Amino acid sequence: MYEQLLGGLSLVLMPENLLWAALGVTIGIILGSIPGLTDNMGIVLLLPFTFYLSPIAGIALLMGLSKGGNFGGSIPAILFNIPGTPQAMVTCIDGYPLTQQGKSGKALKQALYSSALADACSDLLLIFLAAPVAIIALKIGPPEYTSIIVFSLVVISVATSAYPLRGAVAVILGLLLGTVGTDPVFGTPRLTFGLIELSDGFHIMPMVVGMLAFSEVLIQLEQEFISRRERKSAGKETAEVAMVSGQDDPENHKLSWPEFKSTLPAIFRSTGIGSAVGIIPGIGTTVGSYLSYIMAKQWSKTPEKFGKGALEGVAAAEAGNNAVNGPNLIPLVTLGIPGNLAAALIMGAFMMKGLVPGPMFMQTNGEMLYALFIVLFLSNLFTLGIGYFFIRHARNVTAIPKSYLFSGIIVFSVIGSYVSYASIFDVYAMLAFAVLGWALTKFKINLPSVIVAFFLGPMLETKLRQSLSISGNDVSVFFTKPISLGFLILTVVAVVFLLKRRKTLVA
Amino acid sequence: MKKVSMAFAAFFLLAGIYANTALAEDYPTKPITIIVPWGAGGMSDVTARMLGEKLKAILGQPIVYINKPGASGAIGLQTLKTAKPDGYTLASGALTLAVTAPYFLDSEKFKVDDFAYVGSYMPQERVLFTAPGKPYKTWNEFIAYSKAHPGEVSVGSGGAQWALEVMKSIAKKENIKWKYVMFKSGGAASSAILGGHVDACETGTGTPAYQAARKGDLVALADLGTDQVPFLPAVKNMKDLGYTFSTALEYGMAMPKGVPEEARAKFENALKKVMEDKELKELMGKTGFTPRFVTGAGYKKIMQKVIDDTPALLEYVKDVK
Amino acid sequence: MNDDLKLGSVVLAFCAFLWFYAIPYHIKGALPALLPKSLVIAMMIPCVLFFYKGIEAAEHGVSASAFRIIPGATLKALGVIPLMLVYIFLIDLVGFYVITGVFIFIFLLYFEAKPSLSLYIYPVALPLIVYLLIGRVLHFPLPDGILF
Repeated sequence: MYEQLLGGLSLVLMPENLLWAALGVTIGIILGSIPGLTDNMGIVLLLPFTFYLSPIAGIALLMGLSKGGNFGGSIPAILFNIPGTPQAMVTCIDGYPLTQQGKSGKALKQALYSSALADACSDLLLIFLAAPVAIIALKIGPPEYTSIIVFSLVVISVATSAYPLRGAVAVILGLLLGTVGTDPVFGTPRLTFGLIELSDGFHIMPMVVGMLAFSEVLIQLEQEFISRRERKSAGKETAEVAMVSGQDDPENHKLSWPEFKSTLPAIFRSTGIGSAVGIIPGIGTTVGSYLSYIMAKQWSKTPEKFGKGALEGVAAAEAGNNAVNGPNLIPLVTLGIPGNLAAALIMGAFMMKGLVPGPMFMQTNGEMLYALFIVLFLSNLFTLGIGYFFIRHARNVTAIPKSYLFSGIIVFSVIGSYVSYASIFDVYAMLAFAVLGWALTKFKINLPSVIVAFFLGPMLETKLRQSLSISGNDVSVFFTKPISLGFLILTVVAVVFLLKRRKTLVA
Repeated sequence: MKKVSMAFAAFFLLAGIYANTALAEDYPTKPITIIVPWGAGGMSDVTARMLGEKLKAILGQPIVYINKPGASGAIGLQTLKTAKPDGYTLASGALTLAVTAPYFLDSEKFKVDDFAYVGSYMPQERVLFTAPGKPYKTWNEFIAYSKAHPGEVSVGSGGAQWALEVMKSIAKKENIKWKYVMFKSGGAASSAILGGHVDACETGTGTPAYQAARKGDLVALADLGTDQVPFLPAVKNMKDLGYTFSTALEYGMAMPKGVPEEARAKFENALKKVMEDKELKELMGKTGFTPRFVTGAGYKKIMQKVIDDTPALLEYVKDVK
Repeated sequence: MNDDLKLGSVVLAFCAFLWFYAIPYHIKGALPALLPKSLVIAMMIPCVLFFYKGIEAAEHGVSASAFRIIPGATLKALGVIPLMLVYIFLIDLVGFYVITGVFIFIFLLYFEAKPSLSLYIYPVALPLIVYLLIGRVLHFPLPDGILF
């Protein structure tokens, strides 16, 4: 292994490869920070381009892009309460209150350092523990998946909603939206209302962009019009104002070492949770950051600050979503099974070079694999450096008048929902989801819960029905498999614990 | 305002000139769009892009890839059917799978004449795998074991309803009761068979399960098609084993019906030339793909045959549970 | 009417739509309908509780509602929706780049942005940047209708 590691090192240190990784990180941060566009979209669009690069350079570009995008998404989440990528929606909860308190610089720095640190730790896990972790990943069959998803859904819905009934509505609605499309077992169309565009279900991009970006634009537009009316009736100037006005204290934008140090326990715990989520293909970054956030709140000494601008909250959300990435690549490099969309696209890039990720890859192309691991690790430094440059200037964006900002976000939402499948239907769907998101927010229903349930719902049904077809419709399969039983017990324990804590918190 | 209307007029004029230049003789004069009816990073996508890079060099125009996954490829094919037949839009991938999908989904069927066929570039065999620790190592042992243990053996599919129906036809002929499990993709099916969550599972060549079988981590029981499995020559196919029904996945390219014949022929020639490219053959071989060129006319025959055969298969297995 | 009653009614209507129309007419077979049906039944639990809470609150004279429609503000914000419908419809018909420029300009006017030079530059610059990056560098075709 160490020979391969050294061989890999000599491959990597060619400046060309590092340059492409840095370029990837830069593009990733830009795409991630524009609401409506995501890093995955960047990977799809740049895939043809990697054909002209050497394998390492091409894949360094794509992996850098994915890393950059993961951090980039937190920039608009913190500044405007509009997540740039779906996984950044948890960052909004504490990031935006910090901006409202005039501490956007502090929040952005916290997000950047937590992202890079957690990502680097999870990459080390990938590099040194890929083989044993892959064996764990294979142990997760349909029954185990079912229990893990039930655990995630129940914990998220119980812990995140201030109103339990509304939390239930959010989760059930998300699951219902997820049933649209094709039946996962029989392959027959379901709830498509005769529209062929729906036969694959609602696509993720229009749903996420509509619910998270566009609906927030609608809400902020309404607030803007309300405040204009008030200013008008008070006889003041009615012209629009920028997001953040004047009185900026530079001290508020600095992140001191003691402040950062106090968030370290939360970062490392979230890294652990995020990595655990990442090991299981398909569960995804959003769940990783959500669970991390919930646990950070439970373990925090000051849980009452969460949701009102706690640095720990930003740290947990960002560490949790970035830590998913390293382990998510483990099934790809060891077995050739992509853990998420980005990994699937990167696998495509490998194959176009005649390289097949999988069991034989470690033996035949060991040096190249380690070269990639090193690039991956070094990319975190690029994220740190380039990210720092970005956030120094990102605050200036808040000075742009809202009308310009919002029209830009709308146009990018249209592009973002269109390009994945080149479908104008998806753009209409995005608009519909925006209206839905606006109405749900009015009723105080938590949108992230809807989205997480929508992500996990189809997988839950697929795995549940696969388990039942394997066991011959015997429900006991969920209780006889140790991992599955363990998660079901954990679900009950977590619910009891969370409900108890809720009482003590309120009292 | 006057200036604006002038600009509009200029735009119209330019658009008109643009449309007129696209004559069949100088085809192609603008970028070509390839619709891939499956997701990015999948088998159809990767092969389309591999070929596309070479086609681009021959045709001298950039190629744009659009992924339109869903309904086993039927959505992408439907998009092609309604595309402008000017030779600048084509679909690439396992089109025999996409064209039969409506039969399994019970949706609107395609006719063979809905498309103009450019040619095919790769057959793909569906192979049934099992883990080495099982009490059966060959097809006959597997059948015997399944007969002795009715309703206990689970067989999975890597996202191909067609292959699952073929398994059902075998079950009917051999009078076996299997449990059928459908997985979303070859990748998901591979992890299920590698992790031992199903007893046997079919996926296409080129998937992780196939790579594992090449390495010896899995056992290939049978080939659900009628051809040869690359790198695993000992595996018997449906014809060898004496079964009526089989899968026939043929990756190829097609244009909407009504394209100028010059454009189709020019593309067919380009594809043929690409398929003779040594570098490409080597690249595809390394990945476990099996390049093989068939002309447009030949591909049409293959498509015709799968469209004719599928209803018979469905009729045969309709009482298998 | 307070929020709980409103929400309860909306959820009830949605469930009825699914139960009596969508599920029976748009799902074939019993097994594929199993999950949607159980979800609708599950949805009835919070729905009934909303009514219970809502009626109880109404009896105590509590009728605070967050769901307010403020004529000059809410409706003006939602005015973006029809504007968007026209915009998306025209994207397919006329072409993305030209119509996007027009849309941005109209949006800025609708929003009463301060008249300045950037009011004219921005609607041209943004589509141009998108065109250069997505259309030229990445060769991705955004819809081109009769114009561009």
